Amino acid sequence: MHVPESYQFFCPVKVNSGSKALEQLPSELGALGVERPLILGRRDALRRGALGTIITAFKESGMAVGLLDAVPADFDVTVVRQLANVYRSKRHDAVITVGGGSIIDAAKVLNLCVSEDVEDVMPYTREGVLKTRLKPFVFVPTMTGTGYETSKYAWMKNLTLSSHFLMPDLVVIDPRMVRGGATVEGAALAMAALGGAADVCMCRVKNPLADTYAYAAIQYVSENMAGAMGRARDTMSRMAIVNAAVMAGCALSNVPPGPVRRLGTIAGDMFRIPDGICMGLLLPYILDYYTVHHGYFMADLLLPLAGFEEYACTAHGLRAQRAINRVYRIQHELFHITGGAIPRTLKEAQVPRYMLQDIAERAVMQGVPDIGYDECLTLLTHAWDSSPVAFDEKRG
Amino acid sequence: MDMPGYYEFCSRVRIISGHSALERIPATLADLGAGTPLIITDRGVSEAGLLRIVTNALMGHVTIGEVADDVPQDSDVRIVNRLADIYRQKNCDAIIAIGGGSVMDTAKGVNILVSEDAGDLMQFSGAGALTKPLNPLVVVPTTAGTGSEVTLVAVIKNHEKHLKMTFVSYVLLPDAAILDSRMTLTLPPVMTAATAMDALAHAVEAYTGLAKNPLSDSCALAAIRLISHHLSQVMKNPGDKDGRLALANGATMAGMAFSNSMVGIVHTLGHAAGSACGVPHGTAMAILMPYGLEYNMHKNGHHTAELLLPLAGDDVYARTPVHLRPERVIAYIRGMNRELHELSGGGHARCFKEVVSRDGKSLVPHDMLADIAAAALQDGAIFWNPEEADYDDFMMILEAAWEGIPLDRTRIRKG
Repeated sequence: MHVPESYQFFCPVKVNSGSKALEQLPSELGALGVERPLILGRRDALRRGALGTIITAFKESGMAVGLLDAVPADFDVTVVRQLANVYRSKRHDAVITVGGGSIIDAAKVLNLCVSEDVEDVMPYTREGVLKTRLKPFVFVPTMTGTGYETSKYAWMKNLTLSSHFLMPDLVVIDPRMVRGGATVEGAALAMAALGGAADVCMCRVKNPLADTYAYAAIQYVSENMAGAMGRARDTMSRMAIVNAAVMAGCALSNVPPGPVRRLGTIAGDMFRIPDGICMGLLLPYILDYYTVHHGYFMADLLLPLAGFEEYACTAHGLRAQRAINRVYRIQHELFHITGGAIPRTLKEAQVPRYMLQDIAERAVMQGVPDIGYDECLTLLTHAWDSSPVAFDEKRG
Repeated sequence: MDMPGYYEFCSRVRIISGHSALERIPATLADLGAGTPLIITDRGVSEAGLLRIVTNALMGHVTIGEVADDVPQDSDVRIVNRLADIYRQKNCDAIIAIGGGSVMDTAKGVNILVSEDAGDLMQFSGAGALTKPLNPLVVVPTTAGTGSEVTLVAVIKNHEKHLKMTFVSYVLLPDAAILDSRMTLTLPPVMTAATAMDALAHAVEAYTGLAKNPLSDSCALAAIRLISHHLSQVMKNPGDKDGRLALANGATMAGMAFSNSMVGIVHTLGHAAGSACGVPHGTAMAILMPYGLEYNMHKNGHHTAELLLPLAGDDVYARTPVHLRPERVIAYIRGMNRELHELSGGGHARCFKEVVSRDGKSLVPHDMLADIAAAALQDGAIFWNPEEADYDDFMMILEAAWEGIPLDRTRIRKG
């Protein structure tokens, strides 16, 4: 393991995960001096009874709990203003967000507004403007999300906010909250975690602590994908997937975005495919391409992907390819489990071939490490028709 | 990797690592809204020239409120009170703690008093008494071992009243830990060995204990890999900057692991050997680690087995049959102790009978083992040990660890 000449790591997130974790929430909040938490959720996006479970956990706490359960998915500054008005007028002192996706972006922006006492968040789009910790902020994940929930990022319309202080103080992962939900959504979350974590490990600027979070995430996804998504929908496996997504969000907040995140987000946004599915789809091709053409060191990925035994028994020079094959296998497994709902190629994702150039153009504009337009297009072509990257080399 | 029924993990400390990490302190303080730090350290640190390296890095960027370099080896409530007065008099707004466990504990204590604007520490002792965030605290560890830079505990003694106050709260976590290779570059070989083995014991007990969890496991594995790969190189070449930085990183990761998953019998007996006979903590950890693993093997051998990969590397791991891996791990750690003994010119003790004080006197006479075992019964760390242990079990381990012979595993009572 390489320790770089210099690096920084910061993860303010505390994780409480397991049976009856929600019942600890009142005392956790009490320790932070909270008396009037506001719960944010989207009733239409949550399993029936999910919000009730949380509210019940507060029953004997004596806290005055507020609930806003119809936050629109496509929120804007007006929505945040309304939320902030409620927060202030009801004298709330903490936010609890239930479920992943855009609701947590709304919560992050809300927490910024009420903590800094501002209406305009534009000045905060530059990293480093925010200097102090915000008011207590809790995230209760479900089996849906983008993998960015615990990250330092928040998106509102065309704005991107980025600060470690936007990350939740506490994440409460409770088995009762990870049950239910559509398989495709769960798969997107798992692939977002895998893609995001692998992206961290690919980073040229090595960050050993980000790597430890990322390794744990990759291992959990690799070991639990089938159990969580298959017919059994095993609760422990689903807990592991949600844990992985939480860890990936923490890890990727500490390194600059790599090719998996960049390309996944761009293609996802362009074709309205969940980013996670897009990252998962592109992941093996990106790993393959960067290993073959740019000498990226992927051998160590085999350890979390395949476990101690396979890693140790695989010759050093073969590990990268084994790791990549392992990712292909996860992809295929997911494809079969979901009856083809999770695409394995851009073609299966219904991305027209002629649009690959547009993706490549945007990617280069936004900055993908180490590759230019032509290379990016080649990579995307591989991911479109599932031609293995190294094969070209051999043929050439 | 197992999914624990329930776990918590929190490591809110900003880690700043590098060969020039100290130069980042001014910017870090500015981010925390502070600019007038009180520097807390001990004589050893200032005499070794480490204090000067830090103050040079601050020069021109930060107004140093005061430098207090007289923290005793054992943190004491009197010095905490005195330093809190200085902090207030000099209008300080942050603390920089440079040193080992005692300095950090003292700094945490001072920070409680000045942040809560209080005069008596006692009211904040125990768990949960502190809720509000404290003033900025930046710590600079000067040994790669204790992991105090990432722990949420402080122990401060009241020597007059013979009281030991323990403070436990997430607000005690420092805001930033600065891992700079220059801070450990001059650490003598015996100290390098003992502190690194202390860190290794944190990681090993975290990974094999009852309260293990995915994040502490991941930190522990990374820590073990770093320590095992770099320790003997650093012992042979103390000026190896990269190796020193790797050990510092390993110690911090091990600290993150154990502070989120507890420790077990190795620490129970280590604390006891420290309090009963004054055995340095790291030395006790190094000696006891193989015994702890032997004692618990019937319960957690499958976890111990996995440690062979980060410890000995992929070749050894792959070549060793599964059922032999736990024993191989134990043998490997004993091998490390032997190597450290040689590389330190005999200074690193392999067993309790080899532990001597500065003037060469034996610190653990054989007849003191019973006292150590008795003290161990009072230690809370045993709660998280996979196998239960009573006085006789402690004695069995201590006898073997005194002599330096492997534990007779047939004598272990399996509960």
